[in-house]
Amino acid sequence: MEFNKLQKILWANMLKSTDRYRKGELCYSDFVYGLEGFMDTGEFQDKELIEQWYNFWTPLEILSVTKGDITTIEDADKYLLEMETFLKSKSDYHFNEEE
Amino acid sequence: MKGRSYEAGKYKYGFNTQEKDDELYGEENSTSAEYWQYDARLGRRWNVDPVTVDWESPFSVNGNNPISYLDPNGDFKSRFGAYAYKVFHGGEVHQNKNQNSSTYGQWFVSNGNTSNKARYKNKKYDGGSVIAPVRIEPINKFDWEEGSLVWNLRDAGNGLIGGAVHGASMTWNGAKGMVNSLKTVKGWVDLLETATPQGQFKTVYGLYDAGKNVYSHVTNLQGTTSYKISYGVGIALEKATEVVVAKKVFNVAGSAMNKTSSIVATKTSKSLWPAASGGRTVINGIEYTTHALERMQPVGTIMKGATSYSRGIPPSVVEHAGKFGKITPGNTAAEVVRTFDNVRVITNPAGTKVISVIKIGN
Repeated sequence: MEFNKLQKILWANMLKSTDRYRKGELCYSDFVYGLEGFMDTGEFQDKELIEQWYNFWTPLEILSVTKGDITTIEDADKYLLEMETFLKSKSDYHFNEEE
Repeated sequence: MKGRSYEAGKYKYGFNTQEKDDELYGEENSTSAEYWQYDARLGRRWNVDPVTVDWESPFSVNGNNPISYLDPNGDFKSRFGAYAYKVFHGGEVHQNKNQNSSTYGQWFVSNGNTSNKARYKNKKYDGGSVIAPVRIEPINKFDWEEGSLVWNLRDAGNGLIGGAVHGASMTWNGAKGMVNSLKTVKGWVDLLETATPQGQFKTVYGLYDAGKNVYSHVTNLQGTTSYKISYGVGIALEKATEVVVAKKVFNVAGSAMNKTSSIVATKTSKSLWPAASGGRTVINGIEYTTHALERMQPVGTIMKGATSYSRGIPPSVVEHAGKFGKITPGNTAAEVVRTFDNVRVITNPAGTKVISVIKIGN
């Protein structure tokens, strides 16, 4: 299922916000719930994609709940990498499908 | 007899023992009963049958077989009628499962040497005080078989007088709890705008009491699996707290349903969610963190920027996921993730503390 224009922008924003968190431009909770906000706004219909996304988001949410904004990049690094890898893999696939 | 005469045209009753409404479409073309208005020209009722079966139109009449079947009040049919008959008259309920039979799928009550006493659309029990069926599906009834519908009876005083019938398994089940919990029910409402994330619920019914509180009992008429029905309940009532619209209501005074077209109940005042502002809260022995409670609140009540932080998951659904969800490890040994359908609950390993609640897709 290809992404529409808005979904592509939002998906790219997820990757951008990961970068911004790494650079210290976002606090952890804003980053985590911002990601979810992008997901909501995109109104993605692919259930498998949504479930996969939440599989990568859930560990980030657990960190947010247990450590809050004192979560360090080191604490979250493993999960951030996994999320980034997932986002990039899907953006490659979904972005190119249309072309 | 001397002094008496008979004019057929002035006889009040017509098809199916119903009273004629000749002023509508002319003679013999329309009749009314307690729950319907029948158009003889179409062979159809005007309003949807309050008791439907999967295999026929809700506008059909007498199972499209007016010679064999009667429905004097226009409300009951099939297994409900048979079970209701059994309540008051005894006997054994059977369904014709012979697919080659013209009466395949229809219900019967056999009683000694007398068989077929309560055939299709039975209404013989109306000699008692029953005036309407109430369809109910309890929110926590996860142990029921898939696709079951539950029925109950309401009397003229609005007391529930019958046991619940578990439709799918043909057994009596769970009547006590439901009857106890529904003592004050006055009717049912059609809750609109109740689509779930899966979109499988088109029509959901809620029960309301005299104070217009909508109870946590609704049923989905689309016949999905029971756990989805239960999940749908949460969604439906979440919506209900925001936008309950009552479209049709059984008129408990007994006039025809099709004449009850006005909006009767418009809003519920009963919330399924404990307020997150109260901090950590224990519900049914499970501790919820403030964060979990915030995440559970009805959609749109807690915002983060332009999007809803709250996901609209009532405690009953969280409990269900906690009990029956698939368990996967969390980030550390201190937490586990329990996933049921599209609800994911993060708890301590014992499941006694809910740390967060996630809805997969919003």
